[in-house]
Formats: sequence, C-alpha cells, structure tokens
Amino acid sequence: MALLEIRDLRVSFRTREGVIPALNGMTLSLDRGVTLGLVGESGSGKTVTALTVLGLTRSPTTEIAGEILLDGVDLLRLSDADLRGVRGRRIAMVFQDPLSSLHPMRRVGWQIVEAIQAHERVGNRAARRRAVELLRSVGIPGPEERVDAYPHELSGGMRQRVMIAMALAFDPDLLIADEPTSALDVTVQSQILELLAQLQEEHGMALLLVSHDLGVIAEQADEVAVMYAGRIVEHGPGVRCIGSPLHPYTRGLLESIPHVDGPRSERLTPIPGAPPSPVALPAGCAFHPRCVLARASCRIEVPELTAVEPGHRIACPVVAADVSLVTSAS
Amino acid sequence: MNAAAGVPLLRVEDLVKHYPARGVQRQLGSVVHAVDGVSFEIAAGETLGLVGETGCGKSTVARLVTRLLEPTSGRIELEGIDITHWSRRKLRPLRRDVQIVFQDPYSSLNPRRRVGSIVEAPLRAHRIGKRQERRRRVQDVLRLVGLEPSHADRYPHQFSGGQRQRVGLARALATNPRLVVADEPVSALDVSIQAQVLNLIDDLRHEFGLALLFISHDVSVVRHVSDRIAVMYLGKLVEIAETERLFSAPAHPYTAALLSAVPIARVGGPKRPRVPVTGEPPSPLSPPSGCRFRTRCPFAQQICAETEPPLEPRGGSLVACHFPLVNSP
Repeated sequence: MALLEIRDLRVSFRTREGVIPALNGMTLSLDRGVTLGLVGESGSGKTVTALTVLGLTRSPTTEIAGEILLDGVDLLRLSDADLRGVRGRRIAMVFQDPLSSLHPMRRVGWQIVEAIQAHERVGNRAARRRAVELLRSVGIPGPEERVDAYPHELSGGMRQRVMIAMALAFDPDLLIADEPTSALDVTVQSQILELLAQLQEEHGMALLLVSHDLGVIAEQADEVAVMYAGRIVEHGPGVRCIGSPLHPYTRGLLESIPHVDGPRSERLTPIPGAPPSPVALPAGCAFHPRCVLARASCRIEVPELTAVEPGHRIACPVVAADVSLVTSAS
Repeated sequence: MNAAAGVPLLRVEDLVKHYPARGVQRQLGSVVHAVDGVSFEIAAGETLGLVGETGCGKSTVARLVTRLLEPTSGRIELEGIDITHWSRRKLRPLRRDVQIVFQDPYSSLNPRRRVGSIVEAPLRAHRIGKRQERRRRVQDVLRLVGLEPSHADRYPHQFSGGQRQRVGLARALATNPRLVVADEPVSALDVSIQAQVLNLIDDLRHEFGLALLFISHDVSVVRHVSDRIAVMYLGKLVEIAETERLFSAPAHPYTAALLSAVPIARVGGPKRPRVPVTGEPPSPLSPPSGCRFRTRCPFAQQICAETEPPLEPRGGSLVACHFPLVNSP
C-alpha cells in the first residue's frame, strides 16, 4: 500500500470575488522512502496540495472533497485534534521562506523545544538536548551555541537548516518540502538539497519535493509528477518524465528552459499563450488552447490519467493512443 | 567594439558605491560595500551578462550605470564622454539612449495609468514628436513586443506577468535607445513565459542593434542571451569572459562553483564534478581582506588573505584570482 494516496482531490476557496477552484481532481500516490518531485508553474496547485495534505487549508471558506489516505486513513475525515497528532509527527513540512516561518523574537532552540513539547511530555532540559542534537544532524556548526541564536543572526541557508531540524524532530514518515531552496542562492541551494537527500536516506522517509525548478526536480526526485491547472498531467519515474516526457505540457516545459551545459540553442521553444485563470478554465483538457496536438475531442472531455507503461501515467488521450499503437506494433 | 571610433558604448571604471549601514551598525560608522571597484565595457550592439547571487551588487550596478544612483567614486563613460557627474538636467537628453527594464512587472508599471500612457511617457518626457506621432510610435512598439495596438487602452492589471514585462520592454524601447539595462527581466516569470520574453529580447537585440546589460542570478538564462559574461561576487567582478569560454573553461573558482551548482533538468548525462564550496557569502558590511571569495574557496592560500587579486588577463578571460583554474596567458 502506498504511504500517501491522494484521490480526486478538489479544493476551492470561497472569496468575495466568487469561488476559486485550486485543485480540480488531483490524484497522486507516494510510496515509502521515495522522493516525489511535484513540479508546475505558479498557480498550478502545488502549494495548495501540500497545505491540504497537512490540513492547513481547512477553513469555513474552503471546500475540500476527495480523499487523502495516509496508510489507508483518510486525513480529510480526521478531527482537527486527531490531525494535529499526525501533523508534525508523521507528516512534517518545510516551507519556502525560513525567515517568515520562524518567530523573529524567539531563539531558534526555544522554537524547536516548543515543537517537541507540543507532541511529547519532555522536560525542558531533555528537549533542549534534543534540539542541539537535531541542529547537529542538519549540519549546523557549533550547535551548542547556535541553539541560542535568534533567526536574524543566522544566514538564509542556516535558517532553512533549522526548519529542517524542526521538521525531523519526530522522525516523520513523510516530509513535505515546498520550494525549500527557492529563496536561496544556487551555491547554498546545492548544500541544502544534498542535506535533504542525505537525511531522507538516513531516516527512510518519503519526501514530497515541491518545486517550479525542473533542474532541482531532475536531480533530486525518483518520481516526478507534473501539475497543470489543479491536476496531475504526467506522473512517472524521473528518468522517464524528464528524460523522455510524453505529455505535451511536460515536453513544452522542458523545451522552454535554457541549459547551463550542452550546445547553446539559438532560440528557445516557448509554450504559446499563458496559463489559464483558475476561474475561467478552458473546457475539456485545460491545456488544449496551448497544445500543438489538440484535437476537437480535447475541448470536450477532461482527460483521465492513464498508464502508458508500468508506473508512467499521462492525462493525454492523444499521446496515449500513439504510444499504445507503437507498443502494440513492436 | 565600435569599429569606427574604437570607443565602447559604455565604459565603467573602478565604480564604487558604499551605503551607510542601517540601525545600530550605522552609529558604528559601518558602510555596506555594495559595489567595490567594478570595471567593464559594453560595445555597441553587444550583450554583456552580469551574473551573481543575492546581495552581490548586481542591481546597484544597474542603477549606477543608468545614473539612478550617485556613485561614491569611479567613472562612467558613454561613448567616451564622462557622464559620472553630469547633473540631472544635463543627463536628460542622454536618457533617450539608455533605458532600463526592471524585474518586477507588477510594481514597475503605474497601476492607474493606461498602458498607452505608460509606454508614451518617455516620449513625452523627451518631447519627441507631436501627439499623433507619439500615438503611432506607441502602437508600433506595442506591436513590436507582441502586444496588440488596442492594448494601449487597457490598464496593467488586465495583463498577465509576461505581458506586463512586454509593456516594460515597450516603454524602454519607445525612445529607440542604444543601451538597455535589464535587471532580472525574466526572473518573476514562469518558465513557459520566460522563454517567450527571452526570444523577444533576442529579436529586439538583433533588429535594432541594441547593446544590452543583462543582469540575472540565473546562470542558464545569462548564458542564453549574452555575448560576454561578467561574474560578480560581493561587490567585485571576479571574471569576465566570452560566454562559450566561461562555460567551457571557467577560470575563477567561484565561477566554477556557481556553474557546477546549477541543477540540470536532464537525465542520464555525464555526472558533473561539483566544485565544493562551503558556507554562504559573508556580509558586505565587512568583506574579507584580500580575495573576497577566500573564505569559501577550496584553493585559498595565505596570499589570498593578504593581497587582493587584480582582474587580469588569463587565457583570453579577465580573472581576479591568485590561483586561477586556467593559467595559460
């Protein structure tokens, strides 16, 4: 059984301007110990997915439907109190901006201790010792001193390490990292990504790595899931999704980025048009107005994810039909 | 180089900008060494990429060369004429020739003005043409950047991020400038849109023989657009080289580290050797003595702390390093 299974998740926000749908039938599964890279452009629903798994989008003005199963237990059906037991313990999260996630007026050690004591009856001394150990485990030099530092006394990379230390306090089964390095420079980013990969291996946890950066995803993820307009359009092994992508959107994304190595291309191949507004999604496949392969049927039916090879699924009947022709012929 | 005169379009020499620090540090008399002795040239029609990480002083350079900021010291020459200390009034006619495009397409356009009026603003400011002619020019440049002439009547909020950046480009191009300084022009855009704007910049560059100072933290984007690239670290240039050379044979350890740290969206390629850099850039309030990269450099020696390496020619590039990775003259 998959560790995390998201089935037909729909999330929409009621605002004064009307109902804004963010997720429109999102389906995804993640096995233990696997790094899944969730990639997509701004507004595609990556962060809403992450927040909803943690129950952080719950509110009277949010409509949530579908299932989020953690080891078969539907998190959407849990009470707030039960969910608090899962969040932080079994599922932890690292956010993009460590500066706004940390309390600016509290020492980082105090904040880690608070997180520990929220879930466990531990004395202050013991909790502090654990905080120091956690800081050491994420590669913070001089953890005995740094535990008393305020967030502003630490660099961006060090702050993100503090956030990671806090997330690991209870050895979670699943770590969700939402753009964990997007606020950092590349030379610092590579250090943090290396740390995440190393910790994941040590703890054997699953990692849901949310990023807009295809390079980060390509280098870190075992599996890749591509989001567009609140749905998954392609999900499969990283080598397939990045190496030989099938969905026209994934292909478009990969063709539109300039590379740091290899021959320098004269021109980039952009995806025409712009991502749709969530309140005015095109009928049928939301990508059809920008798609070179679009047919009349794409405007009518919302494509389901279908397997084109073991473990590799795409939401594009046009390409899927081609692929099955090729495989049945060979 | 400008073949006729041999004079570069823009020449910057030993440019320095120090800011007084904020808060308690200010009372201690600390200064932020934002830009600390930067020299480079841009020939007519050439694109120079300026790449570096947060806080290295890239944007300050952009604001200095466009004279939006007063330099602490140094020299800025436009076609051989020293404009460093020209008054605003005297600079006015020159502003036609040098335009700037900003990073954030949301905050750089006045939300209460129609796009037509925004794009026309530089023409009005320079009293170029009659009203009718200006209108026509606005329609032309809007078409040029891939927008509809009818878009002139809309407000910025009616456009997407990519379209707004096109409006910013249209405004910069309205006066037919010879140099455009683009400060992170595609960083706020999603990759599928970023490619559209990069292609557009490429077209405009070729069509008008524009010279471009293209500033970005994104190494692969800079590589794509630039003829030459200058790499900046903590207020200083550490390397200037032709694009191909910089990527095939980076000479400064920082350049090598920067290039090897960029994750590549590709699988199965050869594993790239990582240049190990530790830690993070030091504060520009108190930059290290000698070479500023020495605190993170795997090759640093005693001399690196004592003597600041000058930017000198090595193997066809300009490099500021005591132990460059490329050492042929």
